[in-house]
Amino acid sequence: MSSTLKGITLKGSAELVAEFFSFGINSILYQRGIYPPETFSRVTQYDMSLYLTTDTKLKNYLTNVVTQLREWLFDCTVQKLVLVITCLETNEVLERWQFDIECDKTAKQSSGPREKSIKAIQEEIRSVIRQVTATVTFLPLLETACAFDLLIYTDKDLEVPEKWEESGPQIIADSEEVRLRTFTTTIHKVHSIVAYKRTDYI
Amino acid sequence: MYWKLLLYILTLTQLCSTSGSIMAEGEAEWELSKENIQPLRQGRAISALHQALSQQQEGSSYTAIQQTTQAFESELRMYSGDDPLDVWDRYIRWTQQTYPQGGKESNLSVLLERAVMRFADEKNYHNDIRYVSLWIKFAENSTEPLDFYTYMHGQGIGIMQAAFYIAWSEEFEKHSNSKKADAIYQEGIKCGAEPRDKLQQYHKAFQARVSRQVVLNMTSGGQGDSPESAQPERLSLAVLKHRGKKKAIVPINRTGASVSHHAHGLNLNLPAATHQAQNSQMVVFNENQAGAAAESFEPRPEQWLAPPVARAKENELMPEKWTNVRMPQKSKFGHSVVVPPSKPNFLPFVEESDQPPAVTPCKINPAVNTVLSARKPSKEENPLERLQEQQQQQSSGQTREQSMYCKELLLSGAAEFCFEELRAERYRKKFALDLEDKEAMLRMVKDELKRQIEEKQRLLLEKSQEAAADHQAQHYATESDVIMYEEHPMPGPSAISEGSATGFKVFDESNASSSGICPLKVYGDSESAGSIPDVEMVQMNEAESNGMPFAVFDESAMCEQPQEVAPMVVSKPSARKPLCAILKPRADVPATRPPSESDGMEGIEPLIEDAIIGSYRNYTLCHIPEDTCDFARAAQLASTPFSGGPNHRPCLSMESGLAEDLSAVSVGTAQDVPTFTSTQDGFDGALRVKKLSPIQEASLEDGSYSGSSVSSSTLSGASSTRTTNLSIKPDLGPSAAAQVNEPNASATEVEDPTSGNVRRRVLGNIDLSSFPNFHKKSGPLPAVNEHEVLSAGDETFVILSGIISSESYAVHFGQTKSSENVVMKVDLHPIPWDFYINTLLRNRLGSDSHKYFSDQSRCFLYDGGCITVSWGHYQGTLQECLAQSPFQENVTALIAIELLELVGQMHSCHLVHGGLRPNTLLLRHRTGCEGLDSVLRAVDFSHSLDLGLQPEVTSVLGHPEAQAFLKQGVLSSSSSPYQMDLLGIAETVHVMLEKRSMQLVCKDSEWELAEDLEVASGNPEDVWCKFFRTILNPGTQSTVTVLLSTDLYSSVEGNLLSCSSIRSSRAVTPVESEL
Repeated sequence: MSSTLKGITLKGSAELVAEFFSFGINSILYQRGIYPPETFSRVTQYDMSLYLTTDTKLKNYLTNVVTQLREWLFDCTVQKLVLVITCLETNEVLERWQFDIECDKTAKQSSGPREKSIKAIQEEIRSVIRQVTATVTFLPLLETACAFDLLIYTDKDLEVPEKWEESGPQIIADSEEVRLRTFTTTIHKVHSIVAYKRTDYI
Repeated sequence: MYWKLLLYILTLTQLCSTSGSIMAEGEAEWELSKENIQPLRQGRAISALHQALSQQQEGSSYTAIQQTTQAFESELRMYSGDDPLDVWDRYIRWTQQTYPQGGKESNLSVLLERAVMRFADEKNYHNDIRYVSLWIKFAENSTEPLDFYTYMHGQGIGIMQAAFYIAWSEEFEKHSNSKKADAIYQEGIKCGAEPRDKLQQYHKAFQARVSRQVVLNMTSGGQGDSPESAQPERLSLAVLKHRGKKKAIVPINRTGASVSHHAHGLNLNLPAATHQAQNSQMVVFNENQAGAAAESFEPRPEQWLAPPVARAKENELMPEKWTNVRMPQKSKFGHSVVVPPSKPNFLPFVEESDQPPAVTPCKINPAVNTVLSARKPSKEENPLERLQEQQQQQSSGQTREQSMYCKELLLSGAAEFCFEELRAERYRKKFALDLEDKEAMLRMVKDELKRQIEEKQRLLLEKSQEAAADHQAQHYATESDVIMYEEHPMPGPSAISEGSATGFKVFDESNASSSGICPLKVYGDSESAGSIPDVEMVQMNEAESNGMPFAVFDESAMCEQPQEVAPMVVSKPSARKPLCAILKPRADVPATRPPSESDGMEGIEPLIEDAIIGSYRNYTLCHIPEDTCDFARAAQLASTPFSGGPNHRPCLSMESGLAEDLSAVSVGTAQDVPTFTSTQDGFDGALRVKKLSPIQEASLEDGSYSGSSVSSSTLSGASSTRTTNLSIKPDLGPSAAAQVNEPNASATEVEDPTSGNVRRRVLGNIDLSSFPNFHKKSGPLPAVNEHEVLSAGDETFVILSGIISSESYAVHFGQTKSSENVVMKVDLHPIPWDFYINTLLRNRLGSDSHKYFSDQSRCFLYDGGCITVSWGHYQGTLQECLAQSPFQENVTALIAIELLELVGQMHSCHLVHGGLRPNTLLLRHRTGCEGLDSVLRAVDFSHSLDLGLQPEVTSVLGHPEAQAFLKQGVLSSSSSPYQMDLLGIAETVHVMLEKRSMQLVCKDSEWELAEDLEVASGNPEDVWCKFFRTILNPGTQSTVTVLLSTDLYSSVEGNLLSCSSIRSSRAVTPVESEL
């Protein structure tokens, strides 16, 4: 958490965005029923109730990813984070949550804080997470057991850390895409898009 | 868990481009009404969702949705295919997407009910996944889904569909009746519902849920305090502490500390609800019941014993006891009913400007505004009950009411239709059908036209091929002519003057008489003499309809010409017929090209629109002027300076091409004066070596450099000749083309139409083995020697004597076992041509064939030859008889008449004998010919042609028997094969009369005998002189008319009578007696 109330620094921004992803991913996993709802516990964050996993393995995994992500956010080298939900049996991609991250690389040089209150930022984050929750209104029911994957798009010149591997984009062939809200810390700007398999209704 | 990092695989832009319908950021309509969107199992199309929501926002603009609804409604009524469920399925799915909040206006429940009931009796739909899912949707929409599932099971709807069992089991699971839910899964698997995998997968997932539940329950039971209760839990009806001091705001977090504990009133501390069980209290109740029921779970096969309870309705009076109820009596004076004043006792203020618009009462659009009507209690019964009622009615066969109008059509959908709507729908349908029909008809017409075009093209192609064949033939004649002219003292380069000189010999009386052979005079007398043979080659039956193209010919001009332009033959065409001279060259271009030469027109589809639009043809411009390709080629030639198309001609070849053209011009005139034909080769040669006379050069210039004038004259020529009818075209076209093609054919040879190859090819199309008396034998041809016995097949023949023998065949007299006389023809080629001709004659002539042809023949075909046996007793050949003793004149006349008739019969069957000579005709023996009125018989058909089968033979060229006459010039290269037989008759008769071969001279452009006939004794009006004149100069008439002309007969017959012989069947007798 950033310490200042009025302005925001690169470090604070990275912290905030990483935190958003931590809650956001947990929220999606809960909402979409990837893990049994019993394995989630409710916490209050951003002035609303959110669910965090209690599964230790998942917890560790997410912590690792978010820690790594925080570093990259701080380096402004990350471009995208994608949460891919695949069918466990057929490996078919069913849903694809994509968060495009725009990094203001000038923030690396100028260390001065930007003028945007954490409250305002959190307000934006809250509306994003609310919208994520609201997507159940149109997303198809995930009827099979599902697994999820996290993909992170980074700049080209980045060394691949030990525990990471390269992957394909895992795009849904015939998909319907819905753009969700965007929030910005003035240093990092996050666009959210959810893509799902198109339904043939007529 | 996967640790994956995706490095720079896709750029952002690429990804954005893949996104189909990304909505405006944050402006999501759906989010504003997320609570009003029913989640669908299959999800929602965001575009449909957005459209639906935005339209509802606008309120009034329902139009798009209404139109679609209307379309679906009418489709429901008008559907005539074999899958009516499809419309319902699509309609319902569309409704679900379009009305995200459901509700009454979506009509979803009505639609579902109608759809479900509509197909309740159609067994083939009972396990259709679409129908089953309609049922499931219907059940989920109702208050008691379980009843529906039981009913479905009882009716056998969906019992083979996994989706049914899954939905049913999930319903039980919702009621926390896991035992029954499990039983349902097992039942589904037992029934073999498909897809099995899906069912099993769901079953497993269900079992996992249940076991987790059990484990959780056990742990919570052990602890005594559920872990969930430790979590912050919202209490119902709890009083919350407010936040804010001035303004009381309900806190966002409504658990724990925010709940004020001094609760008053009802404090329901409900037991913690598990995720699956919304109704934990009911669980207990159901468990007990289901505990027993699960064991004895058996789907009730009968139809619905206890009808499901009616839906919970508001404001419904429950039945109760009415005995002691009294109506509350109102006191008469106490509460008087206040009648509302008809007019308000105050005037509402209305602003001056606010005039209510004069609205005419309009018809309420039922589609937009919901028409309210009083609810009928009967409508409120459970749909299942209604369904059952309906079924019961049907089963009992009683229909209480029978509507005399198409009620089911009016009411079948969710909305009610009126008759007019139906009628409009039918009209529209009919209209669309009509349109379709019209379209189809147009398409058909178009196809027909296309087909016609193709046919025309094919015909043209054939014609051009024919022309090529002609042109080959033509050339042969030309060459033979040339050989003749090369005997003249002047060699090659100066051949032009030579040619011209020869050309004008025609009119040189003295010259003609001095040279023994003057072939070029033959057709010089009239234009018709030259043109008719051409026509006959192409269409023998249309001989009468010709002459028109040659109407331009001016006889007087022609007579004067020789004197005027005698030294320069080339100037003649242009001087005489300027139009023709200019136009012709272009016409010749396509034809004169070698067929292999590509002119880049292959890719262009030749279009002959005129051929279809009007039947007019212009054959002056080019032989196929309507053909676009030909036109393009012609235009290429016409353009100045001529630079060639894709195939640029070098200068010399162009000149020679032009020379060809010009020579063709002379050919064009040669149709009138055929003598010019003979000059052209020498003329061509002269052009090729560039020894041109000044006028030739001038004309060359004319042809190649003054293109503009040429093209204009072309146009005028084209328009002026338009009026010529198409029907004439076949007469002239090919023959003209054939002549035109001459110069090019120098390399090719004329095929002998009587050669073995040709006959083999011709007979290849005919199944001879199907003919009677045709025997095919394997093995080599048996040796045929005189006085030996030959056994062919089951017959044995004694060979008596040979009568005719040539290198490829021999004719013998013979006798069968039963002493029947036969003529045996032994062919060394395995081509049963004689047999074929014999059979053909018999088929085509019928009983007439017995007169001059054998009435019975057999053929034995061997590997190396064939033997044709014809029955009949003969004295010998005509030649043999003549050698024994000369005939009297009346006998000659008789035989001549018979000969005429014989050839006439053959020609009427499109057959040409080809080899009429005294040694090929047989005279019959006096025995065995009683009752028959002829002495002559034709047995040997070695040189015959069947022009019906060989339509490509249009000229005598190539026929071995015609070569002598061709050399003489009696026959020209364009002469019809039929003319050969006329000459054969003349020769035979001449031999009979004079006992020597005839010599012909051309006198006054008519052919006549070189020496006077003895019988005629110098009288030119003698019958025989007339006979020969007619036979030798057939003129415009076809050979058949010549042969059967009464003139010829009566004259010869008259002669016969004048010689005091009797022309009757007994005429045979004197002949025989003489012999």
